[in-house]
Amino acid sequence: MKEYVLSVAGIVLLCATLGILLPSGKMGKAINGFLKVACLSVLVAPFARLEFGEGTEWLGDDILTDASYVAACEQFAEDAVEEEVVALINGEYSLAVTALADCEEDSPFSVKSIQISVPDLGIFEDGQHIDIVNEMTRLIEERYLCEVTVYGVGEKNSNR
Amino acid sequence: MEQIDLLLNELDLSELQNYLDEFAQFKGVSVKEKLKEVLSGDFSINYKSLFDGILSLFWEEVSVLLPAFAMILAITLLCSVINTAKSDILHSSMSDIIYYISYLCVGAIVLSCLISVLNAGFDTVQQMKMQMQLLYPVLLTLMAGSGGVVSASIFRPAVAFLSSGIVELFTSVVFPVAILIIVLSFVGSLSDSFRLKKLSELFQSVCKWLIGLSLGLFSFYLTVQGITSAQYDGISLRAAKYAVSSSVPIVGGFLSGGIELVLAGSAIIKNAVGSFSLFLLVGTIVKPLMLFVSLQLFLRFSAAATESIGGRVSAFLSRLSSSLSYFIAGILCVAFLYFITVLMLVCSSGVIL
Repeated sequence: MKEYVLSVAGIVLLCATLGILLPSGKMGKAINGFLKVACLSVLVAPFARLEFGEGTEWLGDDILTDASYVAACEQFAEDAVEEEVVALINGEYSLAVTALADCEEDSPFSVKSIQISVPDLGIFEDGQHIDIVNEMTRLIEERYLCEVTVYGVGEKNSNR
Repeated sequence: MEQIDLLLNELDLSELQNYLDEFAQFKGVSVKEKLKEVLSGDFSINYKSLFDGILSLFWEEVSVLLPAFAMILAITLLCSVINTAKSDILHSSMSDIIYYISYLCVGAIVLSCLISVLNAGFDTVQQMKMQMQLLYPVLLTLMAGSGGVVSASIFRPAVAFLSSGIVELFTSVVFPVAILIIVLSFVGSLSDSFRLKKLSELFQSVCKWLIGLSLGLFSFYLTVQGITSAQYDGISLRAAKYAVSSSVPIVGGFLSGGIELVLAGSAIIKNAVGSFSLFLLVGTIVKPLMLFVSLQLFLRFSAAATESIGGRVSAFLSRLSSSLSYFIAGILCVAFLYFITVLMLVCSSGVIL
């Protein structure tokens, strides 16, 4: 920019000086006109660079989000759902279970699927486990609107 | 608060930290610690000392320009005294030469002050561009983490265009055209044979149109996109919440808190990052704006002081002070678009939760 301003100041000074020294006849007018054209070309010279595509970048790189942070949020959401499921089943059926939740990455972390392991049926007898599993599955499916799988039912009881 | 600390530790702010470490006044300042202060409410601003700081900055810039003002006044006065002797002692062409010399001396003084100020204007816009490129990915990440995935994907091209296209428009077109207007003012006042007033007016209207259109169209687009995308995200999240709350009697609302805690944590951190970015923006533009305002004041004062003794010099100084408005408008326009984008990114979570 400094170079541009100095070049303009230089050409203007030159034109003004020559304008004083020029004779007043037709030759003087022609030279005066030529000097004005030269001055104007120096004035608009930087804009010719835009015309011929020098040095402008209109569309930058795409802005990327931090995928590791979103993955961490997804993990926190899954941990929260697992704690909720364990607390819910413990509260409803007095059963100690473990849960494994899988949440969506690209939503408000809605739940895709939940796997529940019920190693100990507690006070419930072996014959009641089918009813309990069905009730539990329905409860969690209605709660989280996802696929629920219950496995390892009564493994501890059968091992006694 | 524990959940928020966990989320904050997962957030990658290393590039922002590296950017702040380049500035002496921010060396040793941890971005995550500052965000924690904002989150906990410990961060406060002493408005009195801020106002005093701005005022002292302004007076400092004005005092730097005082010697230049004195020189301009002296040169114009001398030229005027010599010109009054034109009819009795000097030939008219000698008077023209004296006028040209005085005009060029005044022009040299003013332009030397102007070049450093204009460079500050360019630097400010580049600093804002760099901040946008550092902060927008963080805000979009936090927006996605707070459930605004659709909003984040819709805002992404808009913020990319702002941080590159709009800034490039100002640095490659608006500011160079404003410099051309300044140069045309300088040349046009030099001699009656150089009639450049209409050309100057053409470029002035080009500048005004570009600033107005970029501001109006981009703000409109951003506002509409922000509202519609946040509504979509809000509907999908509310649908999930309704399903949760309505299916389990009594304890439904209580049990939906786990995921909401994660979403709310990201939203709260997003608000803190948004506030931090606005403080950074204000800190970036205050000094250059004070520079431009003090220079504009200086030129207007000089034009007023020289009006009675140096006609064309006064007109040149007055036109020059008006031309500086395009730079001020350019900086404020980019800052406003930056601000409104941050505002949209931060406030969209209010619709979701």
